[in-house]
Amino acid sequence: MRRLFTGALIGLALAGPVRAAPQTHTVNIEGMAFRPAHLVVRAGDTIVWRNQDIVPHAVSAAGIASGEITSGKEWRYRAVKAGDFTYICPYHPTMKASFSVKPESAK
Amino acid sequence: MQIKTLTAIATALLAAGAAYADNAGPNDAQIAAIVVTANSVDIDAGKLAEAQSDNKDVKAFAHQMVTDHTAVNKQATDLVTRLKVTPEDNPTAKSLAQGGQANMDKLKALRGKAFDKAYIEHEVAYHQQVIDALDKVLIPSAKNEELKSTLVKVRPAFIAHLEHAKHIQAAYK
Repeated sequence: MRRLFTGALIGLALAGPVRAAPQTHTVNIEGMAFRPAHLVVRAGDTIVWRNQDIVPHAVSAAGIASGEITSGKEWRYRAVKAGDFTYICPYHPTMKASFSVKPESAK
Repeated sequence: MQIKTLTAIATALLAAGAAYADNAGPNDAQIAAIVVTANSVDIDAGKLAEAQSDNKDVKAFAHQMVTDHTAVNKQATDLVTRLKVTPEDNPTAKSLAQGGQANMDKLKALRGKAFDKAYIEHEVAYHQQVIDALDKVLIPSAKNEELKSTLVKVRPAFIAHLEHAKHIQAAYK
């Protein structure tokens, strides 16, 4: 048992730093709002915007453009670049939200 | 000023509760007709403004009104079809259609900034009145739960449109 445990430890050490598996986060678009209005993800994670409103929406930020997301549809975005992003629905100027992408190695 | 048109719409929407049998408000079939007419009126005005305005903000707003109100009408039509409800014409729907036509007639005679100002002014008043009608007449009167929840679900879109229109209107004051 002790030998097995030591072996496991060595195995982990050889594998280098432990990386969390990429996660998927959901932003619901409903009631003419992005919910949650702010999200924190890690580089490599995916954000899915789901349009649960009747009218079409879109996600637009610097370097990010979903195109039209019609009712009942979703749009997936893999967050690669770390930083803070503010985005809007370009069709409805009242709709604003943001997300932060932490570097992959950050805890 | 288009007080006459606005008054016609306000009267039509807010009197809706009193215009029906034993003051019970419109039934679901009548609500369906009111919703479809209210959206259609704004789609027509939006198409006109898209074609007639030279202002990019007004054109973008008008385009959005056409897109959103078309989506709402599709949802409403799909729902009433599924529920086997046939929209029933009624005094409110008729008045809305007449008010919409009066607005179109007025707008067609205008050009440039005068057109933009009149169109946006009407959009502000129209959305406020539809929100009032949703809150005071349409949502409370709806019997079918799906119809009621659809009305509740479209309300935020009218609020967002109202705020958007007010934002543009501020540039004309």
